[in-house]
Amino acid sequence: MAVKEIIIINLTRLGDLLQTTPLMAGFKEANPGGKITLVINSSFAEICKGIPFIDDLITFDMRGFRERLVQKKYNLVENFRFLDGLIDTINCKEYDLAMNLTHSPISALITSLVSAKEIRGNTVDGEGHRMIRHHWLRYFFNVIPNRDYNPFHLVDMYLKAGDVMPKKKGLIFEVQDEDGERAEVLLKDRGVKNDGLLFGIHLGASKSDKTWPVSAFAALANMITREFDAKIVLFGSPSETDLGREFETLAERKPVNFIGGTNIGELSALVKRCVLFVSNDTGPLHLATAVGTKVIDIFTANVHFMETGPYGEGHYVVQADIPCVPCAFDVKCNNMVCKDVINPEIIFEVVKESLGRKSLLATAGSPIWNNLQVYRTYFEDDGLLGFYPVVKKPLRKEMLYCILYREVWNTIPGRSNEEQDKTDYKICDALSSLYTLENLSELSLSLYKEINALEELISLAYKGAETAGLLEKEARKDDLNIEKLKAMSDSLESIDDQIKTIGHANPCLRPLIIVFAFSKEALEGDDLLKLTEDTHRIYRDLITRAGCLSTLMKKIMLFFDSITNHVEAYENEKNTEIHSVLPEKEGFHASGNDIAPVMSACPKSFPE
Amino acid sequence: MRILIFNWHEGYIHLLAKTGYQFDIAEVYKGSRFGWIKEFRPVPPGCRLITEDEALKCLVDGEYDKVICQNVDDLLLTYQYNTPIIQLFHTKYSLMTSLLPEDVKIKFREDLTRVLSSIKDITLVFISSSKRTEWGFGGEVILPGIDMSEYNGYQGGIARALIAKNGLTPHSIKNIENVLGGVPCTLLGDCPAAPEAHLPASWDEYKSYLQSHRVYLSMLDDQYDDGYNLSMLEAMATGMPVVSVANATSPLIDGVNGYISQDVTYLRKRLNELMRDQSLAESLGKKARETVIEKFPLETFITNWKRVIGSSKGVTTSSSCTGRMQTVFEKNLSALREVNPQLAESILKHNNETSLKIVDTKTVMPSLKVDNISLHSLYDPIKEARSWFLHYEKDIQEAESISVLGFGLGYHVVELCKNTGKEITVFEPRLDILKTAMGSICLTSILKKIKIVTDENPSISPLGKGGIKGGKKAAILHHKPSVSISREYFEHLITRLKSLERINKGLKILVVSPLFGGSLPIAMYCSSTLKKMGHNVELIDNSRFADALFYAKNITEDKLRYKTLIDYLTAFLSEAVMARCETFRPDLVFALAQAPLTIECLERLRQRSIPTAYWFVEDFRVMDYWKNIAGHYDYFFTIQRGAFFDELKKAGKSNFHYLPLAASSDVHNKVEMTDEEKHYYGSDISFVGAGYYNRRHLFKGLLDYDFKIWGTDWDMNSSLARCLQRSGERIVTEEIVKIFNASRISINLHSSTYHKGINPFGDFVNPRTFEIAGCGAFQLVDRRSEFADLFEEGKEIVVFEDLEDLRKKINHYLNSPEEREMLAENARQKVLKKHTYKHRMTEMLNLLTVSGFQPQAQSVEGEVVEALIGEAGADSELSKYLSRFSDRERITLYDIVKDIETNEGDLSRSETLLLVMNEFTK
Repeated sequence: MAVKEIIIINLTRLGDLLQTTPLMAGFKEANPGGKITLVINSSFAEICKGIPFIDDLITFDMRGFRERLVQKKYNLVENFRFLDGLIDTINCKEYDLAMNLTHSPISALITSLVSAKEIRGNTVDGEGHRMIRHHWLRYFFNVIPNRDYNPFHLVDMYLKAGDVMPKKKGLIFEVQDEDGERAEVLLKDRGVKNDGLLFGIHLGASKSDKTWPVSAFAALANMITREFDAKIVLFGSPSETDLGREFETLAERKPVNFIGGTNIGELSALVKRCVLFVSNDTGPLHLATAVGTKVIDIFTANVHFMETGPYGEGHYVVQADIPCVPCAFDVKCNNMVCKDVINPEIIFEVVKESLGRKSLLATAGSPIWNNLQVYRTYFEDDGLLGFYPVVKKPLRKEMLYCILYREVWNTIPGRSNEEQDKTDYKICDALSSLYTLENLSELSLSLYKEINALEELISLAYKGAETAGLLEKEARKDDLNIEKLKAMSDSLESIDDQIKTIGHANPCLRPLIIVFAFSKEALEGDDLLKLTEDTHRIYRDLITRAGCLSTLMKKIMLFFDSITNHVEAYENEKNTEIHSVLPEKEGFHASGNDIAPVMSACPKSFPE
Repeated sequence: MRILIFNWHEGYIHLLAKTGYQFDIAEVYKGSRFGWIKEFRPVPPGCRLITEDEALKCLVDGEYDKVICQNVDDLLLTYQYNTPIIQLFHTKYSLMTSLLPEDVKIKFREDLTRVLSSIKDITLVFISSSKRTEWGFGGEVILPGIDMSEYNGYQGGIARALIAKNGLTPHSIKNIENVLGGVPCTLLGDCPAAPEAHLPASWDEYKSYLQSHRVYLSMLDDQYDDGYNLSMLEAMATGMPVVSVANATSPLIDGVNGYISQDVTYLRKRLNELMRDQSLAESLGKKARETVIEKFPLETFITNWKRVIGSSKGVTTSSSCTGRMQTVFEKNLSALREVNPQLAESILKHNNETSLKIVDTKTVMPSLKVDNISLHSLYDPIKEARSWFLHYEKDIQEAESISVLGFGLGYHVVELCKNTGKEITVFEPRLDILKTAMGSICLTSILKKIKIVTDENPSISPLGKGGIKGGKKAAILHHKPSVSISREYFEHLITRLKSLERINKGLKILVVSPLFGGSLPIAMYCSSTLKKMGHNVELIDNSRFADALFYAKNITEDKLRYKTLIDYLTAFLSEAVMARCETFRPDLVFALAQAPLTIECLERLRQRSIPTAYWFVEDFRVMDYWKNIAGHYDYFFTIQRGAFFDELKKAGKSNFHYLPLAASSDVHNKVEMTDEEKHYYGSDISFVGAGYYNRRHLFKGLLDYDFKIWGTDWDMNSSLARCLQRSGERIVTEEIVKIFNASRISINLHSSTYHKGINPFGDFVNPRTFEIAGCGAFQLVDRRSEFADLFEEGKEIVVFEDLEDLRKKINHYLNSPEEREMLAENARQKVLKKHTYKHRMTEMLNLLTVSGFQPQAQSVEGEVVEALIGEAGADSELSKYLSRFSDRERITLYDIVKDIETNEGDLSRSETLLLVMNEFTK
């Protein structure tokens, strides 16, 4: 379908808006001459100046509208007309595609009123029930409870939902010339030389939970200013002025404090001038990423680098490596160990690495990494963002499943054996290069149990598919046998219950089941035949995905066995020190399920 | 004495002749027949039949002493001849005017009133009181009487029903057939519509029909007829059972002296039964005959008629007002006495020496001038009343209760009563006006339908009963001249009525309880009662913090420290009330005695314009903390007056009111108990309550009785300990009710901390008095000065003066169970009628309005629906959507969303946008 007109509804904040830019870029590339209409919360309208793909911008003054309702200056009809006018503005043309990337009920209701041939994302059906249309957005909105196993960045999920893949990678924001000039003036006013080395720091975040302590930032700044002949530049919103003051009292050298003193344009230009931007997970960090400044993103509380880390190559993220990270979204932690374990010294190490002064690999094995991990971003072969663990640590099950699921969700049915082999090899390759593969027996045992559960799941899915097939056949008949249909759908319900139980008992398998369950919930319409066809398809999808995961897991098991055997053999021989568990011989051949694992020595597909 | 009558009703004239008077009976056409129908009755001895012409000639010559008119035709024919008239009403006004259009009906009534009041000597006689009420005129009611010697000898051998009635319509014949359902029937009468109907050959034959037929069928319609007529009574007198369709004024009692029901199937069954069972018919008939003997004695009929015919009536011309005033006034007064004896007495005693002046109008009806202001039209007061009614017609239709401001001579009230059956309260502060009205206009038809309020500060129960939330709408109708002559009174009243209307729609009330003690259950009772009355009530139940208070006692022995702790707790609980007020936004904060509200909190409530009321259910002499708080509450209610009121006034307080205690109709009730329970809780005499000083003393004098004491704070070392149940533990309400129910005598001694027995100056009445009474239990209670207004001594309650008197009464009443039961039941009825918490809460809200309480408009939420629809534009989707709320006055976005959620089908664009709006309010 030619998509000439697309409307994107994104009523979220600065960072999320910037993270929509690759989708817009991809759409423009895929649809030459296509037009983009963007609906945003007017509080973030300024950012759109630097986003080049917007043909029509519709702003919704959400704060103003809330005030109208609270202050009761306007009556119900006047308020109604305000909204009615917004919908009229939106619907001044017909769209081929509407994408709502906002999670809120407000956006869902508004989206349902957009006149578009196709709607993707959060909307409501005719009767007002919340619906998420398109499987990738369903994946996105439902992935939250299973974020441990999510291998995709937010931006990539948008791209998949938009079915596009832009050639140019990363977020896009064009700094305006006038803003660049203005930034120079601002810097000059503060006594900063034209070529002065600047380190940007953003102390705040949308929620105080997400902030690394000011004292830690100040200690880091002190290390930087001692080591480099550089200035620290502080950024932030007016509400963060206090944080700036606190920083100033702790910093050895007075920073250039722009907190509350810049607009978005100036901010973009100033951030661009920085050699490095250190920040919590915030909008300005994404702005820095977008203008090409390297960032160090410090993740605490409920934010997760995998979802909202800096979308671009060569950035660093730091996150505590403790079991409770990240927090769930609906909790308030009162013992934020995740902040304590990230100390300024470590960040300073990352600063040095990011500036090419030092390799962190040199410090591998040091106890300073016990509760911490640092990742570097890169784009993988599939075009999607990946996070490369800078410090090699033992493989944890969550990580393994993340890697496996990336394959599962990317699987294209009908892949040839050769292609599959290549994939399998790549995974094993990655595992051995990114993690220290020691003491695998426990992990193997766990995998073994999960493979069994997965087999059970597959057999249930087959049963479901079979029943759904019969249901579909029955629905095709002219003379419907309602009792029969009901009996079959009851039997499906019982199968589904069993499937869900497996999901509860095996959290690592839950993503498969969540996607399955939400796909079923998303079935809509009154056309019985279409419903039965879709139902049938959902079971088949489950079979495919579960089958894919199962095959991968079996291969991984064999791979683990081979390593264990290798190590044992080595120990038996009491040979010398091992640098790699992998044999030097190349090749990794598979024929059917009988895999003969041969490992490669070092990672090839990962950046240095 | 020569009396003229027309031959409309042979049966009735035949009866009249039994008075011994002789009548000239003028023959007229009735229906298809002319003249006296001898088949019905022989011409009574001494009476003669004459022609209408003869009759008129004699009238012109003044030969008659009286004319008895039996309908309006007779009246119009004879009223101009100066012969005294007795106007006899056989028919209901509704039947007579049923076929007339509304305007003709009005004209008819006006003309008739005019004619009647123009006749110098006229007496009105009605054959039943329902007919008098319906016609709305004053006059005698003379019920028919049956000569039992003429009707007797029922056998009922013919298994047929009998109907005697002239002029049946096809419709009524159909109804009869429906009831008969195939039972054979004989129809006696002149009925062209029923070919099988025939007249009996003679009166004797008629009587033989009554004797031989099994059952008489009566089809008298409630709306147009009384529940009996002469034929039916004659049938009953014969000993014949009657089967009748339902009629409120029927002398029949179903299954006793016949069968009566609105259920046709039932009647049909009974008819069939009677056809089968002759002995059943006989036994019912026997009872029917007894009924006639009892209710329709011939002697009374004759005596009354003799009096009416024989009396030389007072001249009642409009020029001689006194004469008419006497009669009308007396009739009105006796009608009023039935519903409001106090007011009747006040009116009677009132000495009218004011500037009132009855004045003539262009019609026969008078008007009234007060200080030169005419209260009614000088042209046509009835017509004016009609337009007054029409002006308010819409309000009246929509209202559930009606308040009329001003009585005047009552023309407008008469008009109102004629057109609505709704609850009507008429406010008139001036007794002189009421007295004049009662003396000038016949008001008997309305006095029983309306409530007249005259007090300076009328204690109006909130309009309507119970004040159900929502929809209680009171129309306030002004009689403008009356309002203008008592302006101040009515202005105050209007404000109060409006407040009451708001109250009836339901207030938001925050009830604040104490932490513990006697006023705690009262707080609960008040809260649940107010809820039941339809108010939105939230209870701050501070009993949850009682443990904290008790625990604080153990923390320190230092009194000052302890006080500090309690002050903090009180401040905390006050803050909780403030916090609740912020979200609940009550119209009233109602606190019970000992409620932990600080003065600072009360002042903050005052600043926020949240009215506060306090029920000080304490003895002001024992608990003197009222001195500190009374002034900080907007309304202060007490259980004592007299000396307490003096003290309050002395302390510069106002806005205090007397509000005695009560019982809870939900809790304090009769209960069923097992024998075991009766044994466990029962005794000859019992007492439930705390061991106060005076009780510890007095009760020692009762140790020789079967005496059980229940409750706390008793001295376990005293001789009373052996009477004490369950070692003096606290007894819960549910058990207390059982104890009251199971005890033969409940002793009720009001507490005192310093009397050795009875407080000789005790005034207020404790809750126990009402509670024991509510349980239907018998109590002996020490004398209190406030009893006078609450219970009738000797009939509802028995009071003791001292120990000796108490013992005497215990001895007496233990041996008089029936007397005990009667007194207890009387007391219980009194509680249910006057002393429940519902009565108190109603009175409290009423008193609030007396003191100027006006619920704030803040509770009115939402926007005016009509205005929104108008603004949305007639054809818009939004206005169409909003019009589904047009039965409401106001709506909020919340209401709309709730509605959308319950709707089925697809969301419209308007609905979706309204849901978006709602999301923004979250």
